[in-house]
Amino acid sequence: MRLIQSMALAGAIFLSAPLFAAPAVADSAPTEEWAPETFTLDNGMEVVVLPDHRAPVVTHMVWYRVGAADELPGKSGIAHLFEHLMFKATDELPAGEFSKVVARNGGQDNAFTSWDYTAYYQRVAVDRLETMMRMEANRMTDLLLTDEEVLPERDVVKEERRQRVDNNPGAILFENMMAQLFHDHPYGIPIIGHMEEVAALTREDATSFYGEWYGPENAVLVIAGDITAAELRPMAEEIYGVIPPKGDLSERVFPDVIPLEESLTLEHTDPKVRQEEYDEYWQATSYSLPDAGLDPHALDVAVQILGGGRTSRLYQALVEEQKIAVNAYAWSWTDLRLSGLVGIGASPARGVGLDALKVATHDVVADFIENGPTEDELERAKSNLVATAIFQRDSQYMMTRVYGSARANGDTLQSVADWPDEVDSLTAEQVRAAFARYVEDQSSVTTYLLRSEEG
Amino acid sequence: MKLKLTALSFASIFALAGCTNLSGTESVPEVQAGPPPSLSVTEPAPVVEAEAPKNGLSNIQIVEADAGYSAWLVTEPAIPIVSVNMAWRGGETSDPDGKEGASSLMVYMMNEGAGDMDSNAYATRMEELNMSFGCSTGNDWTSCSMSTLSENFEEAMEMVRLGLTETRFDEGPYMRAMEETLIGIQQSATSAGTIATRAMYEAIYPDHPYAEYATHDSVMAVAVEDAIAQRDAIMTKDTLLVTVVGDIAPDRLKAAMETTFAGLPETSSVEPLEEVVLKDPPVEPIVKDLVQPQSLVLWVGPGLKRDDEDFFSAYVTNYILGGGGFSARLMDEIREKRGLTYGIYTQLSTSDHLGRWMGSAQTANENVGELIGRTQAELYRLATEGPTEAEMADAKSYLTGAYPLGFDSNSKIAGQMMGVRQEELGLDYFATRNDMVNAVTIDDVRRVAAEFLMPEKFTFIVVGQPEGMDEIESFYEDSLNPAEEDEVAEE
Repeated sequence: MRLIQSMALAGAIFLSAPLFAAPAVADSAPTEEWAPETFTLDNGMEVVVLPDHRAPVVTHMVWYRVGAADELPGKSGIAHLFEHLMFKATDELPAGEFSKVVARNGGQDNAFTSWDYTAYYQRVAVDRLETMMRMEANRMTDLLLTDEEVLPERDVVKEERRQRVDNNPGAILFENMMAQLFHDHPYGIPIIGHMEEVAALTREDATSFYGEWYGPENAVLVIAGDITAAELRPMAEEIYGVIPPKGDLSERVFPDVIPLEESLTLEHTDPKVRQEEYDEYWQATSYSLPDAGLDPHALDVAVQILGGGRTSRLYQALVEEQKIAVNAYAWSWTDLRLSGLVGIGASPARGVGLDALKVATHDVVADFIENGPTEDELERAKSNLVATAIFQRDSQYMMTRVYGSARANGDTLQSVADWPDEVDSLTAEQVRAAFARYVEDQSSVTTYLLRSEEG
Repeated sequence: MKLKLTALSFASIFALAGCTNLSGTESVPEVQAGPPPSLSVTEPAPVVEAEAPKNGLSNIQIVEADAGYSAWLVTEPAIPIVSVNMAWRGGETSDPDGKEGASSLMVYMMNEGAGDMDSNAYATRMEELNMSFGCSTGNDWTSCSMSTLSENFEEAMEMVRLGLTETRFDEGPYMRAMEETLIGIQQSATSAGTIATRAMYEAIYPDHPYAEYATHDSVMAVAVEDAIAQRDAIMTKDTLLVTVVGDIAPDRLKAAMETTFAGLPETSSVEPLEEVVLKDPPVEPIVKDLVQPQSLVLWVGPGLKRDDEDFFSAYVTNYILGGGGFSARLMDEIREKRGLTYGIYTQLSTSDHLGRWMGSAQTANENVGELIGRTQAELYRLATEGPTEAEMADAKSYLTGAYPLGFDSNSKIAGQMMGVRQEELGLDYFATRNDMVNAVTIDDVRRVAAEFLMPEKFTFIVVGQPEGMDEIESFYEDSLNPAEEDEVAEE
């Protein structure tokens, strides 16, 4: 539950994995009329329907298997800038009309970009769904970009970067950390792009990105809400199914994620910092990696026990018992496509140094690596993760995010359905061993967020 | 609220939404972080054209407790979960003078141990029940919410009962609550939103309880007894409102509710507040220095309260001005045409004793003068020229059409019902609300815009290291002269 709330806060599913939806506890969900349905159109576009008949509303979301990780060298930020440009003119709609038409239909729209995917969505009354589909299908292939629209939008993204990153010491430090942890891999490059590279992006960059990646065979349509696959299918075939496949879709090629050779520490001092923070990060694994097995599940359980809230090991030890921290936590990021990340961290109590905090944190981690969780801890953590799969069914948006990101990353719907049972099957030893595999004796990036002397 | 450092900092990094939400209730970024007059308009409940949501609000059941309070319930069996919202009139404005922060410390303690469970035991039990429970407080209201699996409903409500009436206020968690609060106060010293909000208090209503906020000294002065006194003053049977949505039948709810709230004191001792009288705005923008590359610009002027007969006229006006995302004039002029900001919004901010019309945007320091000048020009244009018929139609079709989007989940419906109860809008509000939007005429909007939106009614506040403050006037003139617009757009 805690996770769902922090997700909602964060507006991002990226934070950690346990947001899979699936028929969870055995004694609930008698007839699963909400079970996902799926089919594929002739042009290769996938469709996933997540029925929810509580209100006459749908969430219509189209995912593309392209993101910031696909950018050419020196073109950081193009995937995200391009996402903004998808709201400009097409052969049928003048610039700016897309969102206005959505609004006139009582709908809300937005989009988001990750390293691995890009998605566009509208939330709207079900009787307006067809209009949304026609507009979304139209901009899949018929966007018309001019400098008059691209250049001000590039300025908008620069303001967005200032707002999200440059104004925030913690965000600057996190960006630097990712660059070190994933060094030459695209995950080390910020999604929003480096300021100087964003400033140099052009209309031609956008057009060529569009031409290379946007087409039906690279897209997944996910609709949650008051509709069934049988009702949707004829519309989907008529509106999306007639778009010719690109036929020349590029293969996504990425460099390997290279393990970090040696541990390092990054410091960032800023007059705006008022509360210092220690964080440490390790490369880990992902639900989308073919050989991951149950490691991602086990990692998610492990970080829940170690640092998933007030009852967790780190919080109890550092905040409650030793009173050297005001907050302590652990988390995992297991839904990237090509790698993953484990993070632990703490914020010091008055007068406590970050080095001392790191040492105390490591003691707790070492004990967990040696002895694993207790049966009580294990059961509670598993039960809470499994329950998130039920709670998230309350939100169409969450459901489309969960299923869409899974398919965009190449995970099967079955893997989503199996997730609660797989989590439930984990033993204490599996949880311990998975955490040890990625953290014990592995190189890490430590970050210290520091206040400046005069602050 | 407890520190959620990690979640918040991640939020700023990964949610790279391309454009900010179109929702009319999208709030002012950052500024909300400041200590509150509640910034969000309790504009409840968006519904699809006159049609009540399918299985939502046409079937609200009122479950009355013997003691007089009641719950509004929507039974929704589709998912085996239950959401419960609770609210009491009165909040941190009732903190004793010199002890600002008492109510906030009190709500922190509500899930930090109760009965024979200490903090860790209580939290452990919540996890065993797959439940969440927590409380918060604002200027006018103190609220709690609980969610759980329906099979655990009675046990979860027992946890709520213990939390509300057998709160332990143990020293350990209480000291932690104080420490977190003090850290929050420290951090707010470099938060642009908080700095702007406090500058606003100082400029236009420095002496009202809405302008009070916790300081290091006031928090240190709050003894456990003060926190307990706030609980007993606020969380009483007579002002309690409950809304429930989920897989739960009325009789089951009634039985649990009678027990859960039985131990609350009968009557609230929260004193009503005076109405806010706003001072005249300063002529020049207020500038507060903060070392960062981008400035926050906030503007605030007199607005309307929720019970004002012109509320819906103002609501439509605000949509056209800056509440309507990409359909709004400010977004079009400031973001779309000129790329000066990632987002610019206005909203009606309503409290029990204060109505404000507010807006905000962030822009690179060197563009602050231009952003303010052009924003003032848009205020002037709408105030003097009114909207177009097309804007009226667009606003109404969005505001009425999007109403059902607020009813597509249990937690949203519980929140919508609570908003209607707090504002005393009545059970039929869900059915009549869209009619009230549709009844707004273009003359209503002209009248309201002329009354409220002249730029000199607004106090402008800038936090950052702004430049070009002497160019506000020239950008204002430039914006009101459309002949030059194209040239500017191409720069």
